Amino acid sequence: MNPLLQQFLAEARDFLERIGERLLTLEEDPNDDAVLGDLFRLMHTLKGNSGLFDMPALTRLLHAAEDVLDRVRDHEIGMDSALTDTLLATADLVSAMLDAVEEDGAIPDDLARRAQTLADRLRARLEGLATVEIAAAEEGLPVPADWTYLQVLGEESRAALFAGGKPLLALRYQPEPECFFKGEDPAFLLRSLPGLEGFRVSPLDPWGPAEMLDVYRANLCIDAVSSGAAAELEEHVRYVAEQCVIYPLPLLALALPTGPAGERSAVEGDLFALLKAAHAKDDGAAIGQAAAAMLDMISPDLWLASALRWTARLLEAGTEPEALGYFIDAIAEGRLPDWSHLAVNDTAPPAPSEDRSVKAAPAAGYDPIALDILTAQRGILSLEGGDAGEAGRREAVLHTLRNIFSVAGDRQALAILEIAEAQARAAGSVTPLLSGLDAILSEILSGEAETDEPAAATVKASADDAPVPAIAVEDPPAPDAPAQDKTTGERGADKSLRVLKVAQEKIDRLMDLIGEMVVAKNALPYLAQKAEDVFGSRELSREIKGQYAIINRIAEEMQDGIMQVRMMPVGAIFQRFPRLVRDVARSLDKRVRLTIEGEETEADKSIIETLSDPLIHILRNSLDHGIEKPEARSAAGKPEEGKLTIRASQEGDRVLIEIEDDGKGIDPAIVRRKAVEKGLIDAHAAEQLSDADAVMLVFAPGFSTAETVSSLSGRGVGMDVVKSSIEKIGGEVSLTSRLGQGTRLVLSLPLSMSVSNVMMVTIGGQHFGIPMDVVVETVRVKHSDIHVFKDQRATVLRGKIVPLYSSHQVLNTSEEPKPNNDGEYAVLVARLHGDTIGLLVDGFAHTTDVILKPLDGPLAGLPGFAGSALLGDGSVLLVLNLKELL
Amino acid sequence: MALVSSDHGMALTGHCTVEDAEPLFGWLLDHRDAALDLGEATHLHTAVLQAIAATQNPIARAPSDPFLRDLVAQLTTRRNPE
Repeated sequence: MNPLLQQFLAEARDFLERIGERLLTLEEDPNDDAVLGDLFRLMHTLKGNSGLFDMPALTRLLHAAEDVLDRVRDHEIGMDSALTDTLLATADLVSAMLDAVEEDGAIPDDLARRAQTLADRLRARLEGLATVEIAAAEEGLPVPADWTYLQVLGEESRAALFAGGKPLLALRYQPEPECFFKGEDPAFLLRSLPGLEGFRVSPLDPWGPAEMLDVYRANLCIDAVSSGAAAELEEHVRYVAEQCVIYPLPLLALALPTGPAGERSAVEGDLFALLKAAHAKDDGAAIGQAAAAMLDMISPDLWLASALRWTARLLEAGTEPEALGYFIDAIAEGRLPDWSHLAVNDTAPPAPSEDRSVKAAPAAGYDPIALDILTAQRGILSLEGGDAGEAGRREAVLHTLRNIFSVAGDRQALAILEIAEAQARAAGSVTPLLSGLDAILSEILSGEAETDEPAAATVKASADDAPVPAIAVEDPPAPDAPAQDKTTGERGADKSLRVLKVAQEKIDRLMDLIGEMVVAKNALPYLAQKAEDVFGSRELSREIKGQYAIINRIAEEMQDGIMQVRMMPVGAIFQRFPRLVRDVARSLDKRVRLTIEGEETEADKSIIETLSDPLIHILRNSLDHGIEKPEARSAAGKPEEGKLTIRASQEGDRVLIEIEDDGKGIDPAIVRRKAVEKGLIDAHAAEQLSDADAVMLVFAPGFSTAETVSSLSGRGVGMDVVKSSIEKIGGEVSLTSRLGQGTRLVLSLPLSMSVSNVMMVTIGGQHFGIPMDVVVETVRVKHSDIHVFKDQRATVLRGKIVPLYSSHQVLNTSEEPKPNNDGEYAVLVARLHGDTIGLLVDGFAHTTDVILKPLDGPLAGLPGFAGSALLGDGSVLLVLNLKELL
Repeated sequence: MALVSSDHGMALTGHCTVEDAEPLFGWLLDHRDAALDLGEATHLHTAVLQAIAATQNPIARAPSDPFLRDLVAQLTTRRNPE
């Protein structure tokens, strides 16, 4: 799997966790704007990141969720528990998809379908709210409103494309100024664009004096026409998707006359009259004849010739009369047809593109010459009027302005102009026109200076003091909040980069290596001994010991350091509990408040990980069997909302985790009865048990106190499994319960399980290790002090009867342990399951620290062994698991 | 090395990368009238193109690569559109 995807998966899970957390926080206080903003940003970033990979189903779903959250953030949609459920379900599904991607590299169809359903459900929330499309368009550039750039393609190539009839796509790519620093080369991207048919490259801002230029600041706008498939194009520009927009280009858009204008002759007027008349009669043949006749008469390079050739082509292609009429009208007026306008009206949903053009227009289409002309027109308007020429002048100016605005594609300016014109006619004065033009000019200029400004804001401002009240035609879309959030989000991401994410395998490898190092270093004392014994050099021996001390210190520090890396806060697994508790409580109609304390307490990663499942099971048990329904609680005089507390703390070299509820507690009488019914214990023994011991029976294999096996805790996993999995990692479980008041479970776990202190004993001539945490003491017992009842040996130690087991029986060795010369047996006293027992062995050796490795391969299933460890002299030590053996 | 300067101009050859933009731009600013030979260029990085577009030095030989020729032509005829 590629590293980028790997990182994405890891990060995405992290994000999902945090999203889940925020959702739950919101359920407490749905109006917490800070959390809402946070939630939106998380979803937004996650969606953005997912876009880097080819996972459309995932991205679509996240996008829908993001859009909904955007509305929630704006308080247009309220956060209710149904929405929380949907969003949580979204998080779950995304998580499932991530798992699928990790395993198979792709999202299976059924998940994709579910994602679509869920996305539709989310989108349904948005229905009825205005300007949904803007949210959808937020991620890319707006579609350009002006398609006249296509002129650059040359008439012949456009004609070929037009005749070819293949569907075309257009791409507008506006590289961000810093793109070169990200290793992007827009020119190269353009060159390798699939199905590239032609392009136009133009500076975004005029170049200005060369000396002032920063060549490393991209200042280009690229328009390209492609005959490739949309998916191919999207794939091609996926890394710069937000700087691009891909839109379908109708073939009609190619019909743009080009060439020098030439002299306008009287014949032209007649020609156009003829054409229009023929078109009005829908007489294609007549149009064709007229155009052909005229073409013969004029130079083929002229604009008019080009226009007529296009007329013929349109005719030939069977273009709809409406479009053809539009084209003829346009060329009759000597202007370029604005096909984007027609295409928008015809096909695309008009509302969003209107908005887009409003946003896009000001900075885009004006070159300095156009601005000069605009200023000049303003000068003409403001001339002292009153004479007969004024009306004519006004018409001329209006005509020029209209042309400039339509070339620039600035539809808002056109609208303002229209209103101002109407007002000017009504008032019989040019003042409304002047102020309208001023408003447009100031907007264009400010738009160029600072494109980030909401477009129409300046228009409004200047309109306020001008006597033209209706100038602000459309309200600008609200300042682009998502975009702002994006930048702050990115800044936040920069900060978090200080944390290094390392694959666990790498740490594990370090751990293995340091383990070997510890073993290797332990060989040095043997070597020192050998130097003295075999080679008779005390000095060398002393020196080796000195070196050993140094290496020992470094190795221990190193080991400590690596263990620190593996330490993680228990909060990592606590995180998912609020969600779990919420879901379970809801499904059981119970009300529960979960309190988590001490989540910063740290323990080894492997410990934390094995802890997760048992804890979930314990929580489920508490919720299912412990905490009562609200009615029962209030009947018992308790608050309706149950309390569930998880508390983690460190005590010496152990981590304590307490799970406490204030539920109904465990009834020792019921436990006794059940245990007897299930044959776990006989009635007499049950009577003998203290209440405290009786409740511990819930950990006995095959015990379940629930009257009916519920879907939650009755999953075939009893508390016995919880206990055994905790014990497997060297932990202990204890339970106290007070009937009617609650239950408290305490898990005590080692901080780290990588280094174990073991006691070495000799059994049948071989060394075995026994974990120190079970060893109570080592004693020597006289043969005469060992009593045999039936087959069971026992002895009395400090007034207590201690059953003795022979290692011979337990391990099936060839001989019984032998007493020493004084007739005493070596007995290792251990504490197992709260009982003290003795193990008869041949002899004791020293204690040592070992790196315990679980048995693997064919030996993996071997019961009775906790694992194996390498000793300093290279021999292998098997470490016994007495709990399993006895 | 993709940039080769001589008395009468500068030749850009092969694949000109983003690294070439700065030296080229500096050279162009110092030699505002010197001609550029782009005949042997196979690709010009966008930043290089920007340097050429902004300084508008004369092009002695257009790139033989059709894509590049079109690109350079569009960026250098800006001041005198047809």
